[in-house]
Amino acid sequence: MIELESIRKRFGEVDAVRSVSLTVAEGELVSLLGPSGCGKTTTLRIIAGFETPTSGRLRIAGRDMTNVPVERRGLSMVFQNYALFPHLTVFENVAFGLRLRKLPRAEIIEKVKQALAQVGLAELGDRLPRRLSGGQQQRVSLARALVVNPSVLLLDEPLSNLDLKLREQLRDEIRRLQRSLGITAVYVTHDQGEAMAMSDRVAVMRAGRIEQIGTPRSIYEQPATAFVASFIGQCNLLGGRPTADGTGFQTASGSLFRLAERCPAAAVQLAIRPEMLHFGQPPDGANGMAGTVREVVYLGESALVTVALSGGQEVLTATWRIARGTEMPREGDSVALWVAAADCVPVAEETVAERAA
Amino acid sequence: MSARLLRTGGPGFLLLPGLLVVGVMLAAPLCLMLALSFQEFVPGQITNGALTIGNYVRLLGDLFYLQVMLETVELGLVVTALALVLGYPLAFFLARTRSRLRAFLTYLIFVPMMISLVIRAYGWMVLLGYKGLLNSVLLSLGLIDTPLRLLNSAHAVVLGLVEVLLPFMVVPVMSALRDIQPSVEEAARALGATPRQTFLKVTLPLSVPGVISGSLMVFSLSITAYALPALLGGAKVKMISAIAYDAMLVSYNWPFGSAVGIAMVVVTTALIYGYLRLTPEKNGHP
Amino acid sequence: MTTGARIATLLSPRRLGWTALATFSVLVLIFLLLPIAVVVIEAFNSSELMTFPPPGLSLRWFGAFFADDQFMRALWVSLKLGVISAAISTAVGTAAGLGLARRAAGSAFIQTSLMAPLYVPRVLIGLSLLLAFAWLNLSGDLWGLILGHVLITMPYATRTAVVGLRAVDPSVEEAARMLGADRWQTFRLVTLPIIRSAVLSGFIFALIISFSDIYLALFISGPQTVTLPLRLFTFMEWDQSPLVAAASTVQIALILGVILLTGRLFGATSPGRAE
Repeated sequence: MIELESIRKRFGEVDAVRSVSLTVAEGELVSLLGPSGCGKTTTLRIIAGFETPTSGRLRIAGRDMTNVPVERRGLSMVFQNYALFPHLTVFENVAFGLRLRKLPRAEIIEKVKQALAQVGLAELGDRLPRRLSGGQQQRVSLARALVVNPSVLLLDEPLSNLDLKLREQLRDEIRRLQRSLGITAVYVTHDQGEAMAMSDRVAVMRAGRIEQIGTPRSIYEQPATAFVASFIGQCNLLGGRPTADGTGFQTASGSLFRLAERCPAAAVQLAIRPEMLHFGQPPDGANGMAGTVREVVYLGESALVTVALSGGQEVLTATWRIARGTEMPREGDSVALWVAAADCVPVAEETVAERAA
Repeated sequence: MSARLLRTGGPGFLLLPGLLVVGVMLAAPLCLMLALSFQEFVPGQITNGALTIGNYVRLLGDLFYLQVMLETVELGLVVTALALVLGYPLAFFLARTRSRLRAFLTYLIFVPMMISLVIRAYGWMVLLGYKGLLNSVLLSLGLIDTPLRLLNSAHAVVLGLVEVLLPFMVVPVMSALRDIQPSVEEAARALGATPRQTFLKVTLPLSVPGVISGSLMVFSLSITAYALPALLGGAKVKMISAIAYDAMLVSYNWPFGSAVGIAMVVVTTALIYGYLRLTPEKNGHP
Repeated sequence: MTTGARIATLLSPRRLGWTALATFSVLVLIFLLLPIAVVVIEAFNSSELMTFPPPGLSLRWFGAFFADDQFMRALWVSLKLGVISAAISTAVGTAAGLGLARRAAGSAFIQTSLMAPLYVPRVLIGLSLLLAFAWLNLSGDLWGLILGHVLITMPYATRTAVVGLRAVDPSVEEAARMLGADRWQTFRLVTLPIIRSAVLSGFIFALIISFSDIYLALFISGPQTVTLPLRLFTFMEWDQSPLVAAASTVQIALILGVILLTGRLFGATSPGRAE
């Protein structure tokens, strides 16, 4: 549905987007995830038409849209600060796009009513935006964007201005709406939890490039680089290099980790998620370690146990699942840890490879 | 390319009418004036086209004109000083008062600026005239026997100019005072300074940019004043703009009048440049 | 503590010094407003001489004013001039404000140029226009005067437009674009309604400035284009009867009326800072 081909965007001396190629299938929700300054918003604005790429092509539904003006692209956008027309009522806000398309009055009324009902705001038609809460405003914004039947829905950090509970609620609502309407969507956010929860695929961006794109699961379990590994969730990263025969990974302090697959030559770190570390003696084929507990942080459903490995300077954080009958480790305790070979992921510094879904 | 303009301002052609107006109505006439100031005056046909610096020589060399310029500057300085003396306390009061009337009182400063200065000059004529308010009061109090001749004097002009230009002093000073962070004054107090010392050592110095910009504005407006001195000073008070007016509209010596005009432009530009440097955003520059 | 409270404690308004300051300030304010007040009172003077306080009150001078041919013509010229020049000025100034708003600093020269008429003393503007118009044989032309007034009032319209535009969120305009509105439709349907009150206050301000101007009128108006302030000025040089006061009071009333009306409609639109 959307094809970005080697998009590059330069602002004066700065490359906001270095080279982005991306294909979004029809009906798919793809998130652009990354820290501020990574180019995700610029990429979205290029799709929208507010920026023209310095080089590269943009195709939507097969048509080259690279130089088509904003108002003729047939897309819709939901903004971070809602961007409702302050001088128009809720009804008029939603009707705006329809009026521009010169639809008959009766049809407009019908469609607006439907759209407002869809977001649960049927009775607020006469209100002015300033009398609505943030969540309500964003819903109106959504209704306004969807009522014109866009081919693509663009969302620019739509939930950033809302508080936590509301964010989760709206997040699910947006996803549900998107799914039921089958509309293609591109979603920009810096919140990885949001991206993981909503997307069909996540594109993790850094410094103007897509570092890795894949399903939330593949991003999480098979991060391609150290950056992706640490940006999503928590991750232990051990420096080192692959063994000569490629079957394992040797850390800087000499520990050898067995891997399930052949280790790529470019790997410079080993990524191990805290919840993949288990306490106790290793079963056959797993990698075992020993060390002393440095710190225990109680989180309610679990505890984060930081262990300094003996024989080196490495420090690992492991998740201890709280269970009745077992006692949490304490500072100074000697513990044994193990991790399955398949759960040790070698990562490179940088990659431009796109991992398949 | 065109889409980018949404976040970085409107298209350039919107600026054209405005720039055209300024160019045609301000820049071009001033250039004309500059050109004319270097031409030789011929009574009857204005000029014969010959280039000369004689006009400037006359303006800067003739004792009479130097005298006038000196008096103009003197008057300007007096007006500025008085405006400062009267205006600073008022500005301070308005900047610091917590009274509910503050907005209203500040508004009162703007209102006179909207009223034509011809009207205000007339007000002064009524106040200072032979049978005016001041004389009536003084007579009824028995302080004088015969009414004083107050109009048609430099004093009346000064009084009138101070009154008209006072808001131009109050506004920048008020703005400068309002920009001083309270924490700076609190720090001084915490270190042991009395309110008066805080004012003298902290507030006053920090308000100086406002004082300077207000003074520059008042000074440049007073040395270029024409209407008010003409009404309140009559023939007694000759200021430099009156010289220009006479040259232009009475003796039709446009070259000389232009030279005077250009001289005034140079001086006021220097002053306004200083004013703008001091208050880049506070005077409402967009 | 709020800022106000902190300052208040600091300067302890209850101290004697503060009362003195307040009194002084009020006196200065009275000084500022005295001439205007005096003029209004004088307008009701029943005698012919410029005596103050007036021996008696009467409306005769208002009658004389409205009956006076030349004054009425001048009033009409001023009104015509004011409305036309304010309208042009607002259009040009708002366009310039739109062009300037949100533009990067690289146009300092353009900014300064557009604001220049505010800072060049009026006398000099009048003088140079006098020359230019005489050269082009346009002296006394109404349109010349209109354009002159546009010149001096345009920066205010620009300034208010820029300030008004600061209140418009760019993403609101972008939202309109996404919904299918082209640039002109976006301006007409979204931007303009939002900045409406700013544009209007620019218009009112331009109107008031034009109405009170004396300097341009002095230099570039002709027998057919005598404005009210100019008429007052020339009248005053020879005759100072309360007729002037009545004419002035009418002018004051008009201006104050406009200010109060717009203040009521748009919630205290301050005419803006300096000048």
